[in-house]
Amino acid sequence: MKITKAVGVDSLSVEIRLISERIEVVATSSMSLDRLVISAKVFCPVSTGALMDSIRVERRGPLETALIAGGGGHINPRTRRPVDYARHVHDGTSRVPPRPFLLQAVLSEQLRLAMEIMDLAGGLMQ
Amino acid sequence: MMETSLTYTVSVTGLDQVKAQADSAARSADLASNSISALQGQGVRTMPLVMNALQTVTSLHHSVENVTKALQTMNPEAMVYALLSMVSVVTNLMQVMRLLRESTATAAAAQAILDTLTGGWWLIPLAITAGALIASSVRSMQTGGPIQETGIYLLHRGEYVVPTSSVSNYGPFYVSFPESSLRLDMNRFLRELGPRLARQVRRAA
Repeated sequence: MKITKAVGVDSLSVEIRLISERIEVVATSSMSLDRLVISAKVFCPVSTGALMDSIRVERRGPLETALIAGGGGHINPRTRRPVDYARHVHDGTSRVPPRPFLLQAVLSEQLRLAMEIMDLAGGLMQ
Repeated sequence: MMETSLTYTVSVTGLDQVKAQADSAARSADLASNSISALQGQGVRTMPLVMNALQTVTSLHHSVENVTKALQTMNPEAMVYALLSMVSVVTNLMQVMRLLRESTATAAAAQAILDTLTGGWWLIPLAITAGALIASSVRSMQTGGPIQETGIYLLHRGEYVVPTSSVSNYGPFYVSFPESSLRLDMNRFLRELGPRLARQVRRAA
């Protein structure tokens, strides 16, 4: 679905000034990155699902969020050991190829995030 | 101690530049609005030309959206078409601009409108976000050399990656072509590439 907002030339300056005022608030509220987590889980290879379950976001600042895989007390149900192999799966090793699920998620979501911020700032989305 | 988790930091940067651009665009929009009001008051005959410029700018905006979509879906064919469309719209825009500049009555209004709408300020967060997110995560091999650590690298067109097995057995080898090859038919060039590589491998072995 495409939402278009028609703006007359006479009110264009008001609309653009609103963007300037809203953009920081909108960007801050868009950084929860729920969709990024979903994308990363979709791209994540699954054996027991422990690595996929460990994917999460942590807010580091108003305009900064960390997308994290592994650690955080997550335990692999098969080995009973902590999920500490996220980097090996993501970047690959000498024996397994890289499966960059976080990078793929970031790549696939970054433009959408920027567009969402601009659409929200422009009043095209609620 | 080895890290137990893998972290990608996602941040939005460049909002100050966006604000500055938006404020500048808003000032231009004020000028545009005032100039159009003045033109309407005078009943100037070149008014349709200004409206044509506005339509062309809208087409440009659509073209930008199409390129963005093509980038999002990583569809090279759609990207080429979208870029070609953008080139054609920009060419059209330049012609309209030239016509507008010839008419002093509409020049101020046209300039203000085009400054507002073609500033490309809506592209700024896209470019900044795209650049910032990737730069911090992917290592580059721009200067070449051995890869010390397993991971994801940013490779560019024309660069070669040599498998470890080939390095230890034969050493790295490179296939070079005379500059005139670039002017040859691309299909022929690609057909000849396989046999050339095979010859290089045989010689290296």
